[in-house]
Amino acid sequence: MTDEKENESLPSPIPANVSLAGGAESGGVADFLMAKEGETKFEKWVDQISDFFSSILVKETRQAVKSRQFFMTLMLLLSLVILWTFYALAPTRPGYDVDSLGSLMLSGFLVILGIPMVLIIPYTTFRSLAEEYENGTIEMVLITTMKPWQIIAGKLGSAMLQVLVYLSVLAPCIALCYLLRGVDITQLWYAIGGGVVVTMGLCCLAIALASAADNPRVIQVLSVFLILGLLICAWFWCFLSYSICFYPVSAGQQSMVNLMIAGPMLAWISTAVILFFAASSKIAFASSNRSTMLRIGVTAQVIIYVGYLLACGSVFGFHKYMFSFASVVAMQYLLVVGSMMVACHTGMSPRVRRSLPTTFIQRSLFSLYMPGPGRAFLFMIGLTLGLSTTLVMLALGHHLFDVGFDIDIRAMGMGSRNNFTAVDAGLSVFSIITNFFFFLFFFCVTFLISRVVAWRSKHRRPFVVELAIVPAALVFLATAGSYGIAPLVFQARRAKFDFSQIFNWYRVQYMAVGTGSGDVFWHLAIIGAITLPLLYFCIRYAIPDLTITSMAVPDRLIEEDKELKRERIWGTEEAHEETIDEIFAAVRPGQE
Amino acid sequence: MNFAPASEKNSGSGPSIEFDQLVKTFGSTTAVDKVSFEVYPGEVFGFIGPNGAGKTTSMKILSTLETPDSGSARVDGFCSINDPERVRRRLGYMPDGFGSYSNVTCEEYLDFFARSYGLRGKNRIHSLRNVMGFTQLDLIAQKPTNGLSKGMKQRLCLARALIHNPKVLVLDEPAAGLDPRARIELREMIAALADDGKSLLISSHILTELAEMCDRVAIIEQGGLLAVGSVDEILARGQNQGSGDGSGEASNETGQLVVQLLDDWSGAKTWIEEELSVTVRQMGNNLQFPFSGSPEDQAKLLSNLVQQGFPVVSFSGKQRSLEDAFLHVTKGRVQ
Repeated sequence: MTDEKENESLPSPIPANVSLAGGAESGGVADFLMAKEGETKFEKWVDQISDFFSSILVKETRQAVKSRQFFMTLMLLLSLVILWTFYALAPTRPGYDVDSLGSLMLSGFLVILGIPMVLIIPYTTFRSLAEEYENGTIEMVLITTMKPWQIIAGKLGSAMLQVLVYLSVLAPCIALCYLLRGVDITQLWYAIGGGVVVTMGLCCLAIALASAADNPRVIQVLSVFLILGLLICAWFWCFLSYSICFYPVSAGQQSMVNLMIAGPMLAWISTAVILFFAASSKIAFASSNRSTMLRIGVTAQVIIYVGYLLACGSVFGFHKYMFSFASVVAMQYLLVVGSMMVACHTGMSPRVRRSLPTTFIQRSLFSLYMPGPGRAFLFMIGLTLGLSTTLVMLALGHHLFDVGFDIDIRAMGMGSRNNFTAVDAGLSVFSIITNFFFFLFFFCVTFLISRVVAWRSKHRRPFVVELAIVPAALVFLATAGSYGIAPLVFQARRAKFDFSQIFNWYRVQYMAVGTGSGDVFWHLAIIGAITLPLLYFCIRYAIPDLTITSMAVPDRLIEEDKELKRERIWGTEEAHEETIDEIFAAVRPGQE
Repeated sequence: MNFAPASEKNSGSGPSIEFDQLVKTFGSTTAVDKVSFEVYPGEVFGFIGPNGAGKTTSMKILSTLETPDSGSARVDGFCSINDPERVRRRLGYMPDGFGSYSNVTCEEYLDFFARSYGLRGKNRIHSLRNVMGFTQLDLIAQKPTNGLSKGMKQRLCLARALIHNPKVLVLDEPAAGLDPRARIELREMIAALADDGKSLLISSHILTELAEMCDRVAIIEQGGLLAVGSVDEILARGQNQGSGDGSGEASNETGQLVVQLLDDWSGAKTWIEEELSVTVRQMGNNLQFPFSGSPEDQAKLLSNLVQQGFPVVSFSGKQRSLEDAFLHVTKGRVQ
């Protein structure tokens, strides 16, 4: 088949009669396809397989493989591995105890692996998105039909692919350590699994930072912070490697150690997922729904957190101060997250309104997960109330039916397990304290942010959502930083508790849980007197946000969606006309 | 300010691009102020204005890269705010600057965007083949993108904008920095795309280029539209505004006549200055001077010149250009 015939047979996006300085007819297309034909079967197979992956992943992988940085990192890794192997094996002689050699060598290999996994890969992930902003290519990518999460996932996928390459390079060395003994399979799992999870989390953090850096100055500042943070993480990685290699876990301690490791791991992974959605939201178009996935993520994280606390309680038994501190830390975290949520845009685009829940059940379950500051406010209040109520219900469930987690209420100093009223009152008071404080501070932060957003909006300037952390941090410093944590840690038992610490929720919790001092009652009464009217006012003010009506999807859009769905499943007509080999055969010399 | 489309050529079909009372502000600066116009299928529409006039902002709003404060921009009836995915499927955007990736060849670059637009397998290869053939990039398919000349980068940008076969093309300064040959080739490509039924919205500072390739143009300054219409309409409007009557009818506003002589330029210059009481500029063999009068008056003047014995080689009126009209319509204000 000639070029001309081929042009006739294939649908062209460009007019067939176009000839620009002989371009289309000069044989250039044929040359291009001939080059394609020169591909091996394996290359063609890879090309076809790559269709199933994100375009970003394919592009980033191509770039990474060809980059000088990848080559140099690989060379550095190999050089260090060789040097470390010689260094570690140097003292060996006949009669040397090889049992300890496995641990020694593994610790070195893990530290070496930390260079790409903790330092280089997260930083290159940051640069990969930051460079899109610097070069102006981000706009080109954003106006394609890719979804924002696909863009972020592609970049993360490329990073994890590099992790796989570096792990593969070190796999023989790690296998050698195992064969030398002194290292068991659990330690290897901890090391490799931990490394992958740490890198994934750092990459999510890096990409979330990069998504917020839309101008060169911010990119530079964030680069510095990121490098410093990564260096600290690298130090922790060295410490972790040493611990894993030289402190093997005995069989009896295994479940306890697993639980201890699971906590930070779950927190790390869930935060990474939230950062992933935060980065996706950040690069999404303004009229998109940027809130729902984040709120689902935060809800999941709170559920995991409560579950983990209860699991720890069932294994170790609760320590009242630990429980008190953990709860307030959770609330502090929710305050920061909530402050960013209430800083979101006030308007709801018709595009989002088309996707609003329509039935009563859907509205009941998902209205709080829809965008808007009012709904964000109610969502956070609902989440904290839900968190506290869950704890109370679990305790009551255990008391009445002897099911659920074994929370030792007596250890919390709030009552007896056989005393229903005391159990109820103990946990309820605990929940009320936490919620009162949370609501009061959240109201202050929300009020402050809403005023700043309104002022910026009046002057037609957008509000940077990340800056909402500032009021939350101020609240933290004002309530806990200066005279909250320090007395709790250093002189909690000695410091005098008075009304000057009425807004110090760490301390009030500590006193309420620990001593049940009479002063605390008055503290709570005052806090309650301030909080309850505010709560009533805010909920009343925000409730109308829940009654927003959805919009019908135009028929034209429904028809087009159906058509696109059909194309996705069955492909377009022209796709069935020829196979890929026929296309290549079309320009094969001497073949019709 | 709303200008009804003057195109009769495509009056039967709906507009591919619609701007409706579009407003966009950045702080105290109004970048786009109630801009309204439409572009029809197969039409090449020029967007003219000084730097900072609001051209790129309008184009970015249409391309779903910015959101307007009010008003709407539509592509094929789909709103850029409410249906960005559908707009993106129908629109190819070529920005002012070329954003390249390191360690990526031209083929890989286009392959990436083809995949990003959801093209898979054979469709992707077809599209790559077609756009590379059309833009002649097949000859440099394996060349790294960051080593390309300006002209080749522009071709690559155009190829990228075309990769998903969009109905609408938005080209921001496509001819900037191109040599004359590359400009001519670009003009031919644009004409070919318009013949294929695509709508093109093009901004440019090179007004002579736009005058030749555009069916209609819009002039924008300080975010506001000053004029929309065919090039001839704009020229006429500029003349009317220049005369100050604003009546919209043809006037005898002063034009320029150019007379080319074989010799005796000083004699002819003196004669014309005395006869018409105007200042005559001599530029080589040519004499240029302002002239207000009907075509009959021009014929009479030519006849008199010949009767006086001046060796007239050519006698013509100097055409008003789009640049003249642009200078007439705009005030040179910047924001």
